[in-house]
Amino acid sequence: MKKKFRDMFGKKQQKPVQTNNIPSNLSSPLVTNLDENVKTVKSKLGNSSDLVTRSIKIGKNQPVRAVILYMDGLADKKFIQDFITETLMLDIRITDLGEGQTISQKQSEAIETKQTQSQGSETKNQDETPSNADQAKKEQTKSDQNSQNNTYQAIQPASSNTSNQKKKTRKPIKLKQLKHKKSSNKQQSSESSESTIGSKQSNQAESGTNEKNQTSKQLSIEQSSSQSSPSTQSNQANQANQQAKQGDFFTILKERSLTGSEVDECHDYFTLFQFLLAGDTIILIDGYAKGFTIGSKGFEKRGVEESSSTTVIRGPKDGFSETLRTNTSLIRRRLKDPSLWIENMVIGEKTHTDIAVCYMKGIVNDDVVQEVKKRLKDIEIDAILESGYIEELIQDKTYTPFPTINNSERPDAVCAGLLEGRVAIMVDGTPFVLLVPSLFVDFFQSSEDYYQRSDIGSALRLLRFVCFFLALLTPSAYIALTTFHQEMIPTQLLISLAAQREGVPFPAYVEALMMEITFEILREAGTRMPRAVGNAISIVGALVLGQAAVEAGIVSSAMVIVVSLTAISSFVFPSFNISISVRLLRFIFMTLAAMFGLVGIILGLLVMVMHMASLRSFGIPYLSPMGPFIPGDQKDSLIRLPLWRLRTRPKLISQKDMEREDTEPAKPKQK
Amino acid sequence: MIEKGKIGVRQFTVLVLMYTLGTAVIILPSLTASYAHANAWITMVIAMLIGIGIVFMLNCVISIDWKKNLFELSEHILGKWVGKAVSVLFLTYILLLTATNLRQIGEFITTQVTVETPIQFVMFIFMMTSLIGVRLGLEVIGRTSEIFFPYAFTSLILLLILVAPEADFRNVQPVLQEDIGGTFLAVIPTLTTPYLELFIFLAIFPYVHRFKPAKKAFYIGVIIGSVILTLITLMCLAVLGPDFTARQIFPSYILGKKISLANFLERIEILVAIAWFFTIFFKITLNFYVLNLGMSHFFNLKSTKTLSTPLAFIIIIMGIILFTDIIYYNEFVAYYAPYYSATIGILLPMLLLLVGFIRKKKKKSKVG
Amino acid sequence: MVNQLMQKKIKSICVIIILTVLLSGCWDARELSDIAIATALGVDKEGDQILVSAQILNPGEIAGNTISTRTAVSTYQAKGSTFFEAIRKLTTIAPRRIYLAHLRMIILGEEFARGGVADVLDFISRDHEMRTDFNFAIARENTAENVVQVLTPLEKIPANKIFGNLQAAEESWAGVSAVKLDELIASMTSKGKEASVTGLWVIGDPEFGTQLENVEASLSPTEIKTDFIGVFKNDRFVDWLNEEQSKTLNRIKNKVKNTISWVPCDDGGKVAIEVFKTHANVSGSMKKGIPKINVDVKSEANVGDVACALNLTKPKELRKLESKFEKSIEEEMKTSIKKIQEMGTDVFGFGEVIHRASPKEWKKVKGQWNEIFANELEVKVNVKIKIRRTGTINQSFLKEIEEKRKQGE
Repeated sequence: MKKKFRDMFGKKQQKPVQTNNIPSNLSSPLVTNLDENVKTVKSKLGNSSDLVTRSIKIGKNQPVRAVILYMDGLADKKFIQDFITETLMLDIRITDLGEGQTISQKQSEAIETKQTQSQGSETKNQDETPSNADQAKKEQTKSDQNSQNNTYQAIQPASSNTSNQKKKTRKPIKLKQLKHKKSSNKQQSSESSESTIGSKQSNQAESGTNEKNQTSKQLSIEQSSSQSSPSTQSNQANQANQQAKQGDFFTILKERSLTGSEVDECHDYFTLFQFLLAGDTIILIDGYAKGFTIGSKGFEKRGVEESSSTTVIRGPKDGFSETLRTNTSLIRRRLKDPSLWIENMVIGEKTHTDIAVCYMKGIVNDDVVQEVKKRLKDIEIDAILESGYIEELIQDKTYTPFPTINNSERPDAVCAGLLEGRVAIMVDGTPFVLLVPSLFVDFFQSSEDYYQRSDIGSALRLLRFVCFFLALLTPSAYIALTTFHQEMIPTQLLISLAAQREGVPFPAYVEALMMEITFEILREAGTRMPRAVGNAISIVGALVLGQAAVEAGIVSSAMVIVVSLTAISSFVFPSFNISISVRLLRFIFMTLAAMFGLVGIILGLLVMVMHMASLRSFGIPYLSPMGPFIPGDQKDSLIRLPLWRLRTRPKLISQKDMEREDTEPAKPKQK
Repeated sequence: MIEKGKIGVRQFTVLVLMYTLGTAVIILPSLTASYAHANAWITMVIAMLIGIGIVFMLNCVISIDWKKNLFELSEHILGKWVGKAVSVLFLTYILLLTATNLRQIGEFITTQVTVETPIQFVMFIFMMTSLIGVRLGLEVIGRTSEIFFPYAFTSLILLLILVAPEADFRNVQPVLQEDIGGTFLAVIPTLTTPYLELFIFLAIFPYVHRFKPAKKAFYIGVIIGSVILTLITLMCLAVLGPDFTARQIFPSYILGKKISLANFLERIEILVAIAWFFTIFFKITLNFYVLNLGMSHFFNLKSTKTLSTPLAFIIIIMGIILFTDIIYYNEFVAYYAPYYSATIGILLPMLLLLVGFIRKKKKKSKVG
Repeated sequence: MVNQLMQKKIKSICVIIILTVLLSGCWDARELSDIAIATALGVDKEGDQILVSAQILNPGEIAGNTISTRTAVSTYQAKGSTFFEAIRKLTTIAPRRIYLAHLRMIILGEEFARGGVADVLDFISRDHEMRTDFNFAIARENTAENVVQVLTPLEKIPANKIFGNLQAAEESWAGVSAVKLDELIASMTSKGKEASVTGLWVIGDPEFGTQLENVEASLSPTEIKTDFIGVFKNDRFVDWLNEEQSKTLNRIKNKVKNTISWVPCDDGGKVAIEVFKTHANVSGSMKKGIPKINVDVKSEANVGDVACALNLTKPKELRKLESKFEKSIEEEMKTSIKKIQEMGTDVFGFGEVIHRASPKEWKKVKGQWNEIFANELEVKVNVKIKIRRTGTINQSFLKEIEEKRKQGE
């Protein structure tokens, strides 16, 4: 049963199928009685206070009761007010013409300029939308973007997809408004007919008996629109016929009155809740066992801010935020290429978290994409609260201190990853985007390496690798040298070390362990505690634990230096996961050093490297391009060569479209 | 095939190089110097030339059918029963070899680095590390060798460069005037380690990506390794003097002690010793791996991992009981091991080559 | 499934057991506060037994924050029938284990050295803690014990003082030689070469030198001086070389880095040069059983000190000066070599030169080489000196002063 659930989400999110792990009454279909529907919805939500129900009446002569449902805080109230409530209450039940005109005036201002040239094609476009499910799915992403960006007020240059989309959303309004203006009489009649049909339908329950009425009504609308654009008349007549066959009150509402971009029907409570709880608005109409879902997501969210976990001096300052759409738009904005494919998924039986899998089609290794999708589909979990959940559920090996999946808060870093043929996994609700496959060297690369000059970038990158070993081995090397291999220390240094250790009551290992753990506590405290008491930590750390401990003769001052060096080195890495693993491994190496000295450290290193060599990240050997050694990929691993030398993409990650560029180094003209 | 992983040609070269250096780098200078005195390096050169001949012979053997490893090959050529019997000979030798190598590194560490640690524990932790490597498979061993190779190689080269100022080449003069008999006699124990042990690569060959470059890589690895061995022997003689070299048990470690640059870069012999740890580690691991591979072929097991843990413990125990003391061990290496090694390392591959050649001819004549 | 789980459990238990066993490791671990760093060892003979005096550092006194009135080094002594036993017996007195890896000097008492040092050297090269980077010295006309105990000013660690002293003197005086273990053993075992070791003098009262007052005075009453070279025959100390002989030895061994030598001027007074580059090429041959050695010394020098009226602006004068120095040094070397030949120990390593030159002839004579060295060996010395520069001035102003004085008279 669970598998079924998974399958259906994997393939299509729009058409949820009744499943068993949802309470049976939840998956039951809606009933025709409006009050009962509303009551059920309310009771299912436990009368939660953030559910807003607004009942209205539509139509003039025989008003139909309808209820608008939305979650307070999740839905965009202004949108609901402007484009749902008003259109339903005012446009359809036109009792006051003057009021209708004011609205039309207000909204036609922006539209009128383009109205004539684009009208015909748009109508066509819109008509096709509901009939073609695939297209709807594709365009959903775009419309999503629109609605979330709340760009209703502005019109962007017409070349981009988004502006098209905007026209589309406006279209119904425009049509209606034209109706109001030019043939108010006819429209009135059509309105009344609509309402009658509605009431009749409630009795006959979607039977096709009143086709004639519908046709006449459709024609009347048709006429009104044909006045404005005579050239498309015949075209529209065809469409009208088509609509007349399948259309009813519902369709009319949907196509003429509901102005949201994502309008869908729902037939059961499960779907209803899925949309409702995602921030969409539900319209239930009395007498129908189905309702509308209108995309109206508009919850409070953080804007695009500078990423806090990875900072650069030179480079873009924007970072991902918690909203999936914002994040995909940040990527899309940088990679204006149709080969950037974004696939959506929903994971989490309770959270229904949106996941987007992004990759550059044609660059990415298709097997990796398949593998990523397969692993994502195999996830059976109730909640995905952060991309860390995904990371842990799809990583190649669980019991390893090394991360095999990289994450980033930086759109530029993710774009660079995509261009190297990696797959990005974005999770709604977190700014951390996963990048697979990720190799060991990736965790040492900062996006700034590419923005600085290549020699400086290379030096900094080498420094990070040095810091890796410093952070990993300094305390253990100190222990090994001072307790096992004193002959290796220069005499003068040995004397001063010995002088410092005079009177220290603990063995070097215990001393090191103590100080390292103390530092870890300080660091953890620094991360967890409120910012306001931040200064306290530095005072405690520096003065009390550092200076005072040395003065009290509990630790030697050399130890404090060792611990500080280790600590600072472990903060150098651009990726936080690698520094955590280094910190943990450090303790193992310290123990090995205390047991066997340098021999222990070396054997530990051997085991560590062998373990790393056995790791794979989505099929790619973790240590490549070092082991296996790939000469062609050395250009961008330990060091970074000038950009004109980085001709090809990493060999193992992407094997297609290897050529990146063909720039010759610039040579000034010689006179 | 039991082993599913493949290693690249570069990895194969590195493994051959590491294997050639392996234990030879710590025992050979002393061994050759005790026979050949100032001419020890000439001994090494002669041994290298003969070693290249051995590599040529081994390459011929594997060319019979390079998709089969040593054990499959012997069964293929000699028939099931004789083949299995020959496999047993190979396996016993490799078992003894692994135990000996383990003992060597144990002796080295307990003599020079951590004197009070019981040798059993040193051998134990070394073998456990090796066991982890073998259980992770040939691919991992190959990659790991690639990772550590730069360190091992550069520190050996640095050793040679840094002790160069201390070298006094009057120590190796007069060239080939005295101890000529010893010079040539010393070739025999020198061949034992490492050249007569190279046959284990016949078991690795089928798992190299491409065969022809692998044959070349075999030569390259052995030649580079031998040149480094020769240079280190030469440096030992030039810096320490022939007598001092012969007297030391691990002269190349003492050579590391002579590094002194600007009163700062000194006392770093242990960093050089670490390079040998790596080479010896890969030697032991490769031996152990081939042992596991052969065992699983012999018993028709599905995986090389099945016997690895018990074998590891057997090797540790053997390493402990095989030699009572270091003198016994040195005598074994110098006087007895050469005959045994020659039987396994030259005679058996030659037998394989000969029978394989005759069979091929017969086949051809039958077809004709 | 259950089976696998059990297997995993058993595996993890095994790993834990192994780890706990391993945790009992640390056999070699010794904390810095548990070792006594020895910087110098003095070896003397007391009857049948060997007396070892170890100079142990007191790290807190040298690098600690609070400096008390204690000495920077302490000396511990122990007797034993072998050197090794004596060293181990030190632990009966010393509070910590003696750590020898940072040894700087091994000082042999003169009397002990006359009795043979081979068995001490054996331990030194056998013990793993011992490195090869310390120097040997002989306490001249004294016991090693006395030398080890002397406290030195400026450098708190006396062994470091001696070590540094040796390095500096070797580089800019040429009368001493810093001999290390492998060289010492090599020359003691070689049939064509004998060992030579620098001497240490205690100037002043050795008893007073052990007191802290010794270093409290601006001019310490008791000091250690490194000078002259002692020569060995096999492993036995034989005799001391004087200054000229020591220099000659170092010249031939190519150990001279920088030294000075002087000659008298024609009109009284002296002129000294700084020899900064010396290369001696020793070649030998053996024909009809008669060994011959040719020593070619090529030096470059600067004029360092002119105490007479000398016209340094003329190349001719310079050439004259050069040949004067050449003659003087040649003479010095010849007499020195003669003297050393009389001692009957081939510290120059002429035997090895013959060995390399004609190995076949060498085989016949190597048994009685020292006698041949003393009686039959012909040594030719040829010195070439090139004066490159005259320092920062050319003509000395002594001439003007002289003239002025004459005028005044």
